[in-house]
Amino acid sequence: MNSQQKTFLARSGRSLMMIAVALGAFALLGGCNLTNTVRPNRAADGAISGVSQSAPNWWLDSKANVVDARESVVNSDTKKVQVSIFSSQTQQQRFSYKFEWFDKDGMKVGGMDSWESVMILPQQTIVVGATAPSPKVSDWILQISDTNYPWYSSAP
Amino acid sequence: MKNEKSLTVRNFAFATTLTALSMTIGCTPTQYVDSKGTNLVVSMNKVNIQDFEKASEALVASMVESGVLSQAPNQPVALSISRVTNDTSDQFDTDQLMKKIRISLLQTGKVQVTQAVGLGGKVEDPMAKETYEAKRFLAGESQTPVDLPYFTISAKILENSTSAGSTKQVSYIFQMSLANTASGRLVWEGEKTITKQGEKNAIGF
Repeated sequence: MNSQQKTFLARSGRSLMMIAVALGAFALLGGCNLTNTVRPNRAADGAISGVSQSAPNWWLDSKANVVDARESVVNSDTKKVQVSIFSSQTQQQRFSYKFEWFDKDGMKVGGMDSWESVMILPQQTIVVGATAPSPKVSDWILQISDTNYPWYSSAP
Repeated sequence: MKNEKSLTVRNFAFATTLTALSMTIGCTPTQYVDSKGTNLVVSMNKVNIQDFEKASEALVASMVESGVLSQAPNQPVALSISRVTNDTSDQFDTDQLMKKIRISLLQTGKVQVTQAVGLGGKVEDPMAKETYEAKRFLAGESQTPVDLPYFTISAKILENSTSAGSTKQVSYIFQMSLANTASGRLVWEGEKTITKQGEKNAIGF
């Protein structure tokens, strides 16, 4: 291998590395747009025994980690949910969340499901909640999404 | 020859990076967006659709949680919409709020909106009222009392604006009251304030 070949290989390697870095950076930015999902775990009697979190967005999970969830009944037959969310960050952060509702057959029940944007202080635990749109609701999931990044458009 | 190859690879890398950058920060074409999504336009000088959505959800949730709807003797309870005042600088149809409120309340199954009476004698659906009256006449029930609402809802939307330097802040205050027509008393009141701060309109929240 002569020096010209070595130079060519070195330059090609640097160029490929640039491509990899660019693609990696965009993959990372794309990852920031992922939504984390929280589902209640239920005991045999239907009571909440904990939560399961699907958190593909690790950054979001660090500033909006669900630590527990509670349910009650209002107006004699309508489910109300409250969830505690903790931020392990050292700076004030923002995120958005929404509840989605399902009946006993697992069918989605519409209404009361718009995104709510909230602010969370460093090391703070906040409580967010919602009331089901209908007495038919028997289950729910919580979706947590990152709020607008100045350097990344969240447009679909 | 080899220098040309190297140049080609570098050009390819440059072009890839440039394309990716332009895709990220380039102009956004007109597109459909989720009306309940987080990438809607946030305006500094008007009430946006997401503001109506949030206000209606918060007010209905508060009303349902209070339990007053279950206290009515006849279920589902008859409801009517009274005066709704838009006291903001933004000229919008108050049905953007009230229709959402009604939809959500009807979905609870605890409420039905009567068309037998309306504010100032006007009802939203005159055909429903006329048919109701015709059926009552044919059934010989014209002299019996009509289905009067047990609850009435009134609402007001207010605006509070201020600024510091070039940063503007506007708050829209959605106030709502529920009156029991049997007693003439207000049995529930709710308020939701939505505050926006910034220098200009933006996309996303």
